[in-house]
Amino acid sequence: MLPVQDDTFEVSVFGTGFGECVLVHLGNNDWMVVDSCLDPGTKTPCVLEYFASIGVDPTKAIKLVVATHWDTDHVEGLAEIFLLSEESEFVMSKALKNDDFNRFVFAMPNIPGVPKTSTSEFLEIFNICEARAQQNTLGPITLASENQSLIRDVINIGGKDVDREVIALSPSSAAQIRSIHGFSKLMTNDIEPVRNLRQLKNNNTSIVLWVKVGSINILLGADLEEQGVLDDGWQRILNNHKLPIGSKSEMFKIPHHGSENGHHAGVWSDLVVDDNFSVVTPFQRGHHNLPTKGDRERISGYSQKACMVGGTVPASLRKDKEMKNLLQKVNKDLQRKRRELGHMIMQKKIVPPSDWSVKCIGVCKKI
Amino acid sequence: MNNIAEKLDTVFEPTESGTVVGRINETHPKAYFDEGGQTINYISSKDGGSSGVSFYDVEGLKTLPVCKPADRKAPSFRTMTRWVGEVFEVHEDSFLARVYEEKDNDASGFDEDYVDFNFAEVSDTDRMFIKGGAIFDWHTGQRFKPHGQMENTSIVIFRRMPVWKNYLEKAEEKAKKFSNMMGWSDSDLNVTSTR
Repeated sequence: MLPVQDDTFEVSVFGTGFGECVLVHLGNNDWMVVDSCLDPGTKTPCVLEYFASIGVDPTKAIKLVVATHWDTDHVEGLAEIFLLSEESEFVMSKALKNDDFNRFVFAMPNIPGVPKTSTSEFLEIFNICEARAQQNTLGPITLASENQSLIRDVINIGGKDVDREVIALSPSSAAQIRSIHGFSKLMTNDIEPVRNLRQLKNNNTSIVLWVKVGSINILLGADLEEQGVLDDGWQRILNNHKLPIGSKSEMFKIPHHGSENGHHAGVWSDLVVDDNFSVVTPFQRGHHNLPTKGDRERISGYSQKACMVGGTVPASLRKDKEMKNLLQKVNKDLQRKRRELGHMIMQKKIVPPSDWSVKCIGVCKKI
Repeated sequence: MNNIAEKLDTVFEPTESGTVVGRINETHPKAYFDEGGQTINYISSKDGGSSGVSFYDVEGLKTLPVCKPADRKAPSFRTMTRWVGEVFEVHEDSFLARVYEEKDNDASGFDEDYVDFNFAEVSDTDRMFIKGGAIFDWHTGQRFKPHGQMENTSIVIFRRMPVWKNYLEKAEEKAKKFSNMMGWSDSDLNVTSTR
């Protein structure tokens, strides 16, 4: 693939049907990685494979590695990326800055009989941060919360100064408090046996990002949900954001896999331009299948250029004849799902601004 | 008196009551006798050869000579494949689990395998553990009965995990050390835990 030019803004969205990653080129070979997923074929972080294909050295090029929240489908491979990106800050939700979450991260690997979980990625990242802090090679973890600027500078592209800004629009203080209470409840529970804690809801600890380079704005919705309360979710962002007037986004990574509970009509009217590109990464696990048909119909009403990236397909047990026979004997039906990678690349010249060019690789479907 | 055991033409099947059922001959297609082997009684042919015969199926009881079950062994289970399962979704009377073979030792495979289980497949003592994220062992294999009969079946056994608190308290020191190193203090966050 062709290298990305310094004067080109690029958003790459990777999806696998269970996992998402957004990679943003902020100009001048500065990159931001938002979440991570693995290539189902190679089990390598998608970002690193893509960098190898376009000749980018991650050690110097990645400036920010952001974990929007701690769900497995957003963090697979993130530690590997962070380890390689020697000049990057690690950004995580301020809602996860509490002793109980730390205890949780440090405790999980020592619990026998529990499969690897997303906390393993966090533990590896914490260990990298600890080692770097000891060597004074990089500052501590950046804790993001609403209206916090993560990058704010001016870069020179083609002899012209260009403003650049990355702002976290969430989590709100209320989301932080709820997160702390969730972990606290776990800590004080004397009878709850260890299990994989997917049921600890943490979508509203997500970091929503607004990115601006020159005249280009994009909105990355993470998994933030809308719960109809004023102090949390999308309503909070709509009421409380401090984005400049005229900062509507041309590209929108739709939150929470396009689900109904991630939708707020005000986001489309107030934060996103009418003629937008929107991207959904599906979540197709177990009997869950997001976005649903209803979700896709709703999204297509807000975006003429909406796309779904990645997916899963039912996989055959043909190659596992022995297993198939055995399961038939015990009268059990095993449903196998196979992840398939999709990669959507959207590019636009920063100076002077051009039209968007869009390239789809692998599984990408128009909504 | 001829030994009636010579006429037995099938293996025996223990019933819940501890009796043993076996087909004897065409005249008396079914019989049962107690474990001591002291009596043997006929069972009506209306039973039609189904297994799991119980007392109320019996009519025309008649005492017969002793017939001892041959080659009786302790019941056993041979595991063919051992899986690890994680409860993914819990429904009214069933649950969906993600499963992977234990030899893979990892749940992060890219072909994700799901299996539905009825609550009835889980023993009463384990049903309290059916919650999202709970880990269990699932053995598929063959069960051998005392008289040599074999059936393909599977067994679900939920892991008895320790409570969270034990592990979280042990991680306290590491967590504090890390917070200090990162320069995190309680004042960073203007909220306090209710703990």
